[in-house]
Parts: sequence; C-alpha cells; structure tokens
Amino acid sequence: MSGSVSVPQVLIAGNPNCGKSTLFNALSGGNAHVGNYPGVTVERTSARVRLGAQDIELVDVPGMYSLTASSPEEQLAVNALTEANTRAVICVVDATTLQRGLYLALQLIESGVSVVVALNMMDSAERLGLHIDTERLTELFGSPVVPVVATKRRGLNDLRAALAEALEPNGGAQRATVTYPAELESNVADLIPVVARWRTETPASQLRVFALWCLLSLGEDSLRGVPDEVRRAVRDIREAAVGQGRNVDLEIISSRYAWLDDVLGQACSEHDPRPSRSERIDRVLTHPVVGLLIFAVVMFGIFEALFAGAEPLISAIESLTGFMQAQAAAILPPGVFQDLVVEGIIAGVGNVIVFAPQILMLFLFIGFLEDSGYLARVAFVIDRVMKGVGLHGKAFVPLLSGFACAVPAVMATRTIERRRDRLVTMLALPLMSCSARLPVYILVVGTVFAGQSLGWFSAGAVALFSMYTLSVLVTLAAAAVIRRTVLPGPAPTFVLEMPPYRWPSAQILWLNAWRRLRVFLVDAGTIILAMTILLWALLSFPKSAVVTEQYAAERVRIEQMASPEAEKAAALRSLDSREAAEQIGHSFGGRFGHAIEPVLRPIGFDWQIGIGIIGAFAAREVFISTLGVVFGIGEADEENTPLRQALRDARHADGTPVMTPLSGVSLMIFFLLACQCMSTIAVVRRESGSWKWPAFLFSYMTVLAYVASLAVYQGGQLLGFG
Amino acid sequence: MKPCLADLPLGQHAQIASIDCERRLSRRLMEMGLLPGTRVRVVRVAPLGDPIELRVRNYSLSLRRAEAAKIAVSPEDTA
Repeated sequence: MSGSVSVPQVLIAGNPNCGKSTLFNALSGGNAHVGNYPGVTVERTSARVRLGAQDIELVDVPGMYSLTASSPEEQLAVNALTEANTRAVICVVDATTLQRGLYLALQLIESGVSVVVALNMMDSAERLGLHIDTERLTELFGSPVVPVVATKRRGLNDLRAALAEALEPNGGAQRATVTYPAELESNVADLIPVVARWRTETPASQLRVFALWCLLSLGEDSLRGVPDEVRRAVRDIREAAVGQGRNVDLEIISSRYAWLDDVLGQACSEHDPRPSRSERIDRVLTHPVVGLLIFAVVMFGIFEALFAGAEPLISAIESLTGFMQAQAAAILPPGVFQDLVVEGIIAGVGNVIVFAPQILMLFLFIGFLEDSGYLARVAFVIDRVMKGVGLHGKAFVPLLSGFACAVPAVMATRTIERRRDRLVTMLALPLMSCSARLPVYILVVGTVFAGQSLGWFSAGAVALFSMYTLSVLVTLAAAAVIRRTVLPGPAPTFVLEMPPYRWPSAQILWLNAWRRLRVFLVDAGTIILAMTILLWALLSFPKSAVVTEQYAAERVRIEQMASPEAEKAAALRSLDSREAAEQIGHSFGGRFGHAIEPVLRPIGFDWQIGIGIIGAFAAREVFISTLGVVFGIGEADEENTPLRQALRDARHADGTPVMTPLSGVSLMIFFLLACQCMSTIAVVRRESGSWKWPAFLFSYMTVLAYVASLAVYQGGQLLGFG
Repeated sequence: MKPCLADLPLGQHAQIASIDCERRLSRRLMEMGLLPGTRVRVVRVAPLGDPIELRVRNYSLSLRRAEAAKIAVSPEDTA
C-alpha cells in the first residue's frame, strides 16, 4: 500500500471516558462512516475532514489505556498506528486524570508517530484548581499539548493548527525519551535484530519501541501474525529476567510512570482534586439503601420504556406496513409477483424497521447512562450478583433489555469490554422471555387454561409467572454453562474506572443512537429481509394446481348465486381462508411440518403447530397469524376466539385433543427456550462477526427447547396429567 | 505478611507494596497507574459488599475484593 497517493490518516486515541468521541464529532461535524476493522468485530468510525488545504481521514480508535495488547481487538490500535498512511495521532487526555491519560500519550510519542495531545476538559480541571502549564508540557513531551473543551468546542482551531503542523514532514522535533533500567535496555538491544527481521517495513528508529511493545505484550496472548522467532526470543528474555529476580512488565511500566511523575512535577500543581460534585452524587447513588432503590427505579424505567413506551411506535410501524401492503395489493395484479411484494418485500422491510423504536430508545438510554457516568455505577452496584454466574456487572443492562427484545439487547452488549464476556452475554440473553413471546403465551393460556384456577390464583397467571421466572433462571444457568464449556477462560475481571458524573450532550446521544440504528438497518436488516422472503417462499410454494382449480370453480359458483352481496362476500372470504389453509399444507413449509410430525408428537404438537413454529421463525408472534392461516380462519391475533376454539377442537389422528394443559405448557416452554427468531440470528451475526455464533445459538437453544418440552410432556403424561 | 487492599479500612491511605496476580491483570493494573509506591485509598464499598472503589492517581477505580486481595499495601500512619 502506498501512503503517498491515499489520503493521510489521523487517528484519535485516548482513554475511555476522556471525551474522545465528543472531540471526534466536533472535528468531523457528525459525518461519520461506520465500518469494521478487518478480522475483528470492532467498529471503525471514520470521517473525511478538511484541514486547511488538504483532506484527512480521521479515525476514532476505540478507547484504551495502553497500546499493550493481548488480543486481536487490542492489537488493532497498534496495527492502525503502523499503517502506511497514518501520519499523526491526536491523543485525547482528560485533564482531570492527567497521569493515566498521558501514559498512553507517552507510548504514542515513543512509537515515533507525530502526536498532538488534546488536553480535554480543561474547564473541569480549572474548576478543580488544577494548574497545568501546557507550554512546559509541550516542551517536555516534544509534542504539542493543546488545551481544549470538546463539549464547548473550545480550542479546536488551535488543535487543527497543531495538527496541520504535525502533518508537515519532519513535524516532530525533539521527542520525549524514557530512561529504562540498563538490564532492560540490554534486553531491548538483543530483541531489536529479531524484531527487524519481522518488521521489515518499520523504520530503524521505531524498532526499539516495537521491541518494548513485544516484551510487554507477548506471552499468554492471542495476537495474530507474530512470528515464532519473536515469541521465542521474548520468552527467553522474560524467563532469564525472572531468574534474575526481575519483573520486565514492572520495569517498563514503572519507568514510564516515573518519567511522567517527574514531568508533571515540573508542569502541574500537585493535589488530589476529587470532584466534590461526583462525591456528593455517589454518596446517594451508591448508598446501600437509597442507591439500590434508585438503581431499581432507573432499570425499571428503561424496561418500561422498551416494553410499553415503544409500543405505540411499533404499532404505528406495523399499521404503516399493513397500509403499504394493502396499497401494493390494490395496485399490483394478483399473482406471485404481488405476493412477493406484499408478503415478502414489504413485510420484510417492516420486519426490519419495526425494531427501530426499541433500538433508538435503548441506545439513547445507554448513551445517557454511559456518558453521564452512571453505567459504571450500575455495574458497580450489581456486579456482586452477576459475578456468581461468571458475568460482568456490565451485562446487567443487556440482560434486562432482553425482556423487551433480544435484538437491541444483543446490540447493547457492546458496552462490555472483553470479547469473551460479550459473547457469553450475547449467547445467553436470547433466553430472556422477550415481549414477542407474550402473545404466544396468551394464546396458549387462553386456549387451555381459560377459567381454570390453581388454589387462589388463576392457572393462566401462574403459568405466565412461571415462564418469566424460568427464563431468568435458564438465562443465568446458560451463561454459567457457556462460560465454563464453550468459552472457557479466566473469569471476567472487574477493573472499571468510575468516571466523574457529567451531563451528556443531547446531540452526541442522538448521533450515536442514530449511528447504531443505521448499522442495524444496513447489516442486520439485509439478512432479515432476505430471510423474510425465503420464509414467504417456503410457506407459499409449491401451490397445488388441483386445489387452485377447485377453489376457482367454487368461487365462480358463489359469484353466480342469487344471494345478497354481503353474504356472497362473507362466503368468498371464508373460501379464501380455507384455500390458504389447504395451500399452506402443500407448501414446502407445510410438507416440512408434516414431515417433522413424528418428531413433534413426543412433545405434544402436531403438524399444524409445526407449520406455526416454522412461520414463527420470522418473529415469534407470527406463530399466531400462521396458525390463523393453517386453521383456515384468516387473520387472527392472540385474543382471537375462533382461533382458540379451532385449537381446542384440533385432534390428533387417534382422536385425542392436540391442545391440553400439558401440551400447552410444553408449547410455552418450547417458545421460551427455542431461538425462533431470525432477527436475533441476524443481529448476533452482525455483533459477533461470524455465522459460527448464531449457528451455535440456534442449535443449543433448539436442542434445549426440545429436550425441556419432551421432559415436561412425557414426564407430565407419566404423572397422569394431560 | 502485609495487609492487602481488600482489608484496608475505608478512607485509610496506603502505599501499594506489590501486586501478585496473573500477568494480564497485574499488567493492566500497573498500566492504569497502580505501581509499588503509588498512594491509594478505599473510598467506597458497593451496596452488596463487593466490589470496592479506590482513589488512585486522581481518579476512581473499582475492583472486586478477590482482585484487591492480590494487592499488598503498607498503610500510612494517619495523623
């Protein structure tokens, strides 16, 4: 790759919570492009920005405390740094936590790239009485240190000017150099020739820092592309050091901090300015009683908003989809093409957009919690509970959101730092009983438990309550099992910064939520649309020509009758419903439903419910409308009396009723545990970066659901229920 | 045997003596500025007793007790 022809790339790096994204948005004007780093599931946000006479590509690198890496995700910062067209780095440092932020800046400066340090939140630092001599810092670091307030867009012009200068050839003058212990320097000297054989493109002046990076990063890592020769050399050096009673990690890190302590002693006033406002807020928000209470209220608020607050918008989108379908049906001539447009394409687009309200809401909430600093406290308060099943405190909000819908909840796992912790959460949370399962429960409960009671309670209420309790227990158990089997490794550590409380910017919240939604619409949306069309085809083809002819003849007969128009119309509608029922039986999906009946019979279902389950893959609640078609009722919802009656009247071949309280419970448990949701599959594909994880998710949930339903149904029969 | 960070009374200042845990964690803690000689103070305990919150190098960091138990400290004499 030639760096001279492509647009110069400028990275924005910094600690988490340092205001990096705010600065990125301030510099880019919000016009970001969201893509993916190659090979890892980390999003790459970038924007083309005009700087003086030239264009630059500004890249927002994920927040980090150090360049040290032990996983491919952490490695991407180093990779981005060594890309041929990377010309400079803006290192954003929170002026109120100077040492830790400058530790990263120092590493970047050591690496040889041109660095501009943006000292952010200078206003907060000044309020705390912290005096920072930025000119002295510039001198000592050998890189420009520019005070900014990203939220108020202060200092941006100075920053742009400094950046333009840093992009000039020979921009970096006298750089900061850390003095390391003599033994370490000799280790580095030994390692440089080995590293040079690997990094043939790296300038000789940067090999030293690369050798340091290898010493600190390699060993127990999962980094890609590191030659064995380098690994062996690093291992030998580290082992020899241990023999001498040395700790290489400590030597490198403490030398850097010692250098920083010295520099900061010259350029800053020294004291510990604990933000008093945050202290006061924390006294309330992490209070043993009040804190837990507020926690519960906030979490309930999110839950309520996702569950009930999004409902009108979701209904509106559904009505709009219905309206569009009716319009298309009126315009297009009846036939396969009309069906494709109405039931495939428009329904598919509807299936995608219907998630928008919950995704936007959840990400506005999470953005608010994260940017205000409360999300870290949520994790702090609830970690004790999550730790028991091997989850991180930050898994709580995604799990809770799972009660509303797994799609935004899976997207919300991105607040969890480590990939393994994120995957465990993502793979367990679709077991949370989402709102799309509720209509299925209601239909079943209304069908088999109508008017029955268990002691003081109605049988239906007990059944519903049991489903929700069971879902929580199974989710936590699944997380614990997945953590120990499929994704083994050290338990998640909980090393989490508690940032000072800050008031989030509405514009940034909106921008980020909108970006999340756009990513979903494009990446997961295309998969959902394709699957909707596929499902439509499966349940529509092939059609039986015999049936079509019979019904056409019947239709002609009804139209020629002398009865009143209204009566005729009703007869025609009923005829349409019956034809649809017969045709769906002939379709691939219908045949499949028949074919799997022997498998479904032991868990108490018949082929009609089998077709319903296939249709429910589009979305769980579609189970009901599919059954409406299968039973020849036409459009139906969960409160539909004819559908409930049809279900009660349904008989197996031996004349026994299909729907009994026992098979009803079996059906509810199947829906609770099975991954009957292509959108979940699509979003897990998007967020995990491969088809492997959604395939695993679908398989384990389906097996779990089948086994659980089998145990309930067979066990229940043995005990004399049903 | 030095006391560990997990045993430090609330508000008591101390200096880190050593960090003795798996390499990834110790490296991460050190890179976040928890080095031998660094002053720390436990400022808060979560409502359910774990994790705890520290004040170190002008910022607040929370750790589980199990992790804090691997950090040995020398308490400073309080006046």
